[in-house]
Amino acid sequence: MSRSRLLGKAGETAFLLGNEAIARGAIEYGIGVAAAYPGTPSSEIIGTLAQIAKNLGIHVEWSVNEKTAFEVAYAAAMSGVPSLTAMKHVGLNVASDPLMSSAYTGVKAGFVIVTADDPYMHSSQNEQDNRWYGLHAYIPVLEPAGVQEAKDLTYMGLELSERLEHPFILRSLTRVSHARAPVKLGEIGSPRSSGVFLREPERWAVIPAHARVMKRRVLEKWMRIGEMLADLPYNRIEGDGSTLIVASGIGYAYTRDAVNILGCRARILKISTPVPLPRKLVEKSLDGVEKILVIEETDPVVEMQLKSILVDIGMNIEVHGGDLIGRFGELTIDRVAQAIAKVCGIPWLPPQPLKPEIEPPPRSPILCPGCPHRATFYALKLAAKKVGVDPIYTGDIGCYSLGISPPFRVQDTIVEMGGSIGLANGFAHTVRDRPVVAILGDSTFFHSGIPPLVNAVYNRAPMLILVLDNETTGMTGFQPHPGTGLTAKGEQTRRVFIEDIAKAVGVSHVEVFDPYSVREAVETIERGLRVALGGDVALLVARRTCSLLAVRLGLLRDVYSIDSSRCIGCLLCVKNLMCPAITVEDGRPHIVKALCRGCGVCTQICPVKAIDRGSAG
Amino acid sequence: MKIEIAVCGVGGQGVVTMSAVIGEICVRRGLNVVAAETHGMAQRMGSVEVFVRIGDVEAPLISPASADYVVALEMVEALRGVRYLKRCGWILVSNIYIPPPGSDRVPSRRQVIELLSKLPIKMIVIDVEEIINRLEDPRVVNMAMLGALLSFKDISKILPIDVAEDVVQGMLGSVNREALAMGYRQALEKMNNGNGIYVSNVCTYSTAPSSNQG
Repeated sequence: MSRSRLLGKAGETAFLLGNEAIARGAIEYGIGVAAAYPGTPSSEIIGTLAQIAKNLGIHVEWSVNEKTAFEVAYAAAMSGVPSLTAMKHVGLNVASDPLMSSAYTGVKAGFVIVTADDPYMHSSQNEQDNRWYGLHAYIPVLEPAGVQEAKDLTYMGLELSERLEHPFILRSLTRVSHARAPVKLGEIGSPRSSGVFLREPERWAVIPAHARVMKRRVLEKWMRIGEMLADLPYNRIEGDGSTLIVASGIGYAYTRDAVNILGCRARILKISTPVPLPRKLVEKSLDGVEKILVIEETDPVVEMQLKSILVDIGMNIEVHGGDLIGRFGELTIDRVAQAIAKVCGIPWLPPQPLKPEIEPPPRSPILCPGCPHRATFYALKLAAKKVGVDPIYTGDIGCYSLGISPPFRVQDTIVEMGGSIGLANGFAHTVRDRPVVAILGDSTFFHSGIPPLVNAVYNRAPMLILVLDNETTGMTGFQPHPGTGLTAKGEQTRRVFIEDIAKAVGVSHVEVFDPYSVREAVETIERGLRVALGGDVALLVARRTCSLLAVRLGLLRDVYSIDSSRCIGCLLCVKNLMCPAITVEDGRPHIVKALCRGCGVCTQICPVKAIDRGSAG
Repeated sequence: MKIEIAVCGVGGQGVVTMSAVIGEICVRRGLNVVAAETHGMAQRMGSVEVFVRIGDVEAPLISPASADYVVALEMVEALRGVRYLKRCGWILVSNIYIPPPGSDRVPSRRQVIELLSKLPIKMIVIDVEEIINRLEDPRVVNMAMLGALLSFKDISKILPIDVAEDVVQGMLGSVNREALAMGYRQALEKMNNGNGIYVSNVCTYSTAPSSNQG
């Protein structure tokens, strides 16, 4: 991302990523604070803002988790500083506690919560539709139909939020956040980064007496918001016909393309505010309509509200949506076109894809060459074998989730951030004949690993915790975290050490090791396993910089090669490591020079010492 | 006007950068464009596909059998990406071959070409290895393939090579600009002499469809 592109002049057109467009909308409004925890597909919003924070004099941070990020931005908006927080869909679950009360208190300056949903789960554990949170928390939801609208609605959300003193949710998703399109830029607003806080506990403290007053006020405000949203230009009725297509967010883009392909006539109700569904506009769109089709991404949020409106006003119109489109995965032009064709009675079949006679083998994501996690997993398997145990491996969210695959298979459970130590707390009390090994990353440890760690010590849940510290947030694109000693803006700060936290909360056995030193790693993990078997909690930090990052920083330079005269073709290096840099040709291993990162782990595994530094072979 | 291009390859090959460059050229030319990318998990050396839709379009995804062009930066991925290609559309295949690790049933280079040439499509194979060797830089696969794509008449009509060279120079520097030009020239030569061109006999094809010099 070039800094200049985001700071382009008003009136210019820039080719922006959806997330960059959201960031641009926020600075056009003049936000003073932005905070987030990284998560695909949301990460580039704050990543982009962090690069220009100094230029603009605004506060941008990577917070330790989504709840804290939410609170940072929320407090800014309480003190009159417009703000934005951004997270992936499941991140909003972590932030849902303050979220649920934020409509009660309201805000003073614009406050937009960006949730980036991930239908089809390209990089996520579920497909949740966060528009439900809007209905649940009495917070209006804006849903852009594309990249330009992502910018425009971010701006408008901040403006409406400030005018109504109420938080707004912007629901993005993979195909908005990670789409690129030309965006017409507006003026960058002067940032308001300095706040004032007046002592008004009746406004900011949700004790029961205050909350009861607030709840009544929220209900009344909710009605007013619904009426107001009907008049926004991003909600409108287009075309005419007796079939009404209600298209929300990105569903509108697919609808437009599908209608063009089919060449059919239909009335379209374009919706950018699925929550609350603007009743006045819906009623207006129904005149002469015989059938309705709702196009929306993921759950029937609009469809259910629409059906409820029809019942309220006593209209009996056929409504389709999920029944024709299905409720799994992403919308496509074909899916939408098929549904529209059916409702309009047009015969249409999508073109059939060409299929080669042999299907190509899948190419799943794997640990990168030189990845320190590979070395740790190898040592872990070997240590468990040496101690003679078959542990339960509770896994977590991050690159190390890839340890689920052969040859390692050391992620028996993966549920949510911090779930590794959390679930280990339960297994420790139920499955008594096997030790539990909780595996999580450094950033995940800071995110939500600390409370369950304290719980393990407090409630005497024996386990080995293995923190794979690659000194960055790897999977989402190398964001810094408290263990790196750097802030989002790249400034030095106090570094927080995982081992210090473990010692402070009373973990009796704490060690740090370098996973690239295979023998040291195996022995350290063996000691940890014995502590867990002895009924205590052990925490080990496997510390080694992410190999991708290390190469970028110039920390890894060596290349290894295999001496074919010494190699006996046992293929232990291949089978035990599955390193993409080691390939097999004619039954012999071979190191691909362009891929080798020089971690040297394979040299330590080779039984005949046939692998060495050098460029031969 | 509507042109749909699917780009596929292996995480790390610069698939996303390629779509960013195409988009930038479109913006320079005042054209509407929507590109969709894959991030996160898929970038850890997994299969990556990016869609670029130019002209009268709104939605970001290309449906199967709908792309006018499929650009495959890697040979095995060409077999996967061909599902997006419409009947008698062009697939541009780079001769970079990266077998997926851990699989013992990977089609060979020759098999990939054989399998593809049985389909009702048009194919051009670009010798990207040669371009990489000449420039001594393995990271230029994406720009070499973009150059090849720009040699097609209906593409060059809207995205001229000189504008593309200018954009690539600005975004990625001169080595990438050279790779772009080399890919462009190689594709034009192949179109003229028929080397590395495979056209199904169900598709119409004139001898020099892309001679765009005039």
